[in-house]
Amino acid sequence: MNTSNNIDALFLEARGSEPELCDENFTKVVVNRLPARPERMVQRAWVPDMVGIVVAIVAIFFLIEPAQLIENLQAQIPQSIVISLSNVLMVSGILVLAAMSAWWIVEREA
Amino acid sequence: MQRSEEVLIGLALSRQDQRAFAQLVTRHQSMVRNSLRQLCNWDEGLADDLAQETFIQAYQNLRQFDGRSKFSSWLYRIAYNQFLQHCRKQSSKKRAVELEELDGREADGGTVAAGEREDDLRLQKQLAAALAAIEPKRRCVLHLLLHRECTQQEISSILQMPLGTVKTHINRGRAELQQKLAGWRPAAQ
Repeated sequence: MNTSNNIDALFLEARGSEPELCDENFTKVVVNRLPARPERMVQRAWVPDMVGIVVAIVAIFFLIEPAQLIENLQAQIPQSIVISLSNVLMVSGILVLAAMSAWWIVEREA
Repeated sequence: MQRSEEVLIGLALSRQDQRAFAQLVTRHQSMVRNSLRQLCNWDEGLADDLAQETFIQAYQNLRQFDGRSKFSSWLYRIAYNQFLQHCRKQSSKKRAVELEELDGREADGGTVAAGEREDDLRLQKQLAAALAAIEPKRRCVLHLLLHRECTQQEISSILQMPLGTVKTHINRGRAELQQKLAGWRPAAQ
């Protein structure tokens, strides 16, 4: 068995005699291990969020006076905006933190 | 009536139809398991574990199958990646111990599964043992060439390896295999 032809002959025989493996439970085991349908997983993830949002809207509607809420919100709006170094740094810091949080959330879920 | 492979892949993709995918598994399981057994020195347990992972990964990434190559070639690629990943995980020391154990098992002749012909299995196991002495990537190339009769171009495409590298693996691998099989005679003869 020391020529190239011998190897080819040997593998020719092996190809001809390759056993046809019975499936037995192989397919069943694979199917049982398949992940859940992605669409359903996405749907399930959205359900608690939607329930929370609806509950919050109902609570706000009954507990908070809309006119007063608008008044309070208007009071929060500054009359003028001063662009100073400290303000720019603060806004930049907030943006960086928000971007990092978003990145971290996405990476963790991936 | 048997559905065509394209239809089954389409169903598995569009409706996430696990029954359609199960039919694909049933059709290809023997080929994938046999290939992995050849690569894993006929370690049936390990080969079947890797085959399961192969099909699960195929299901998860089915959208990436573009239909330009055969579905079986695409499955091979996943299976070989699983095998190479497994090899990488093993430390060189652990691998050496495993090879010793597997060599010992080969000397015992191994167990023969029901319904499979003993002589045929002996040949398969002995060739798998000879291949086991060759480094994993080269082993994959030789397996595709000698067991699956793939062309060099097909091997290059399946293993995503430059054609020149495939040719080098084939030349060196054949020489190693010749050396390994020198003086070997089928036990049944």
